[in-house]
Amino acid sequence: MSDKPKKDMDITRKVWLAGIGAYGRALGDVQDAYAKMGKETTKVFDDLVGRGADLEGKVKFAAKNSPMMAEQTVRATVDSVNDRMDRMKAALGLTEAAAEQQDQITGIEARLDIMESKIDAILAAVTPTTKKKAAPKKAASKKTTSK
Amino acid sequence: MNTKDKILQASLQLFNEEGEQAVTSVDIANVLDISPGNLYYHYKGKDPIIHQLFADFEEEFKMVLQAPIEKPLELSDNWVYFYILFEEVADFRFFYRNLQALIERYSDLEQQFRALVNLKIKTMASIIFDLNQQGFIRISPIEAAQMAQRFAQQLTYWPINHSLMTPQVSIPVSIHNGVFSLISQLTPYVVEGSDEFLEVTMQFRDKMLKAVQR
Repeated sequence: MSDKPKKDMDITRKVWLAGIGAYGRALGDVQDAYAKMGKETTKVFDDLVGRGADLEGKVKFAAKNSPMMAEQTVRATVDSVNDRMDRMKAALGLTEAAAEQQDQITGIEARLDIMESKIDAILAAVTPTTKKKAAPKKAASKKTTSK
Repeated sequence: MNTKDKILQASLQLFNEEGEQAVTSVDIANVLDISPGNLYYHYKGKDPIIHQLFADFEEEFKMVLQAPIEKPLELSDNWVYFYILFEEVADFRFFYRNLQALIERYSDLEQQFRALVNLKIKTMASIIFDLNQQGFIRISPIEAAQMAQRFAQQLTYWPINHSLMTPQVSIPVSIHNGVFSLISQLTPYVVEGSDEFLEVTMQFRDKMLKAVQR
């Protein structure tokens, strides 16, 4: 049981490399290759895996041969995308600071609700007469509309 | 900002808002309060402006698309990253909305645009591969390949869908819907017991909804 995921991962990795190798090829071709894999030869697939690994190696080789260029571009890429990720997280309220701010806002809202209900209660206690006066008026208007 | 950059920025905004075909180079000059002659000194008409805009867009988008291929993302970062991808397309939406017409008129951009869509597929495949590798989802290679294609298509064609089907919805909400659509397509593949994935997804959805509605 335990080595099943491992085997799956291995297959996925191979498909990944095959994907690099097959880039530009029609998806249908690749799917056909997958479909035939179990029964027939895996030659096509292995060939693609080989080409993928080859390409991967070449990319790494190229990067090694121009360390200035490759390393700088890679670092600039990652930094800049990381910066954008941070900004996006803040905008979405996914950073801790933003989450804290959200909590604070919710806290203030809750306190405002309490204050509001208290003020309502005080107002009701201070002005009992207006309410009593208002009640008969409503009753009167109901009568007129029913006629 | 120099005049050249100002011209680019104003053009992009006008194209996105009014549609590229409705905007003339005189309109661009008017918005910037410069003479058409001054604009012509920097760019000889709309064509070089569009080529420059595309070149800038392509450079930036390639850099963004390359990131998860170079280094796997953290689980929760995937969703933030989807957001950035959709935003990237939104920044240049006039081109996506009028894809066919623009490619016919600027035929040299067709190949470059196709390469960009291919890179999108590769990036999406990389993300799905990493999620599978990290044990959050379990997906067969064929399904993963198809999903990567579908994700890239959704990312590419959402501006058309947005202007046709939901023009009343704001761009940020439309982006949110797009990101959530991608995430929900992954959920059937979540490995049983991989609560972290679902937790992050739910948490993200709630926070995202709040952020979008604000």
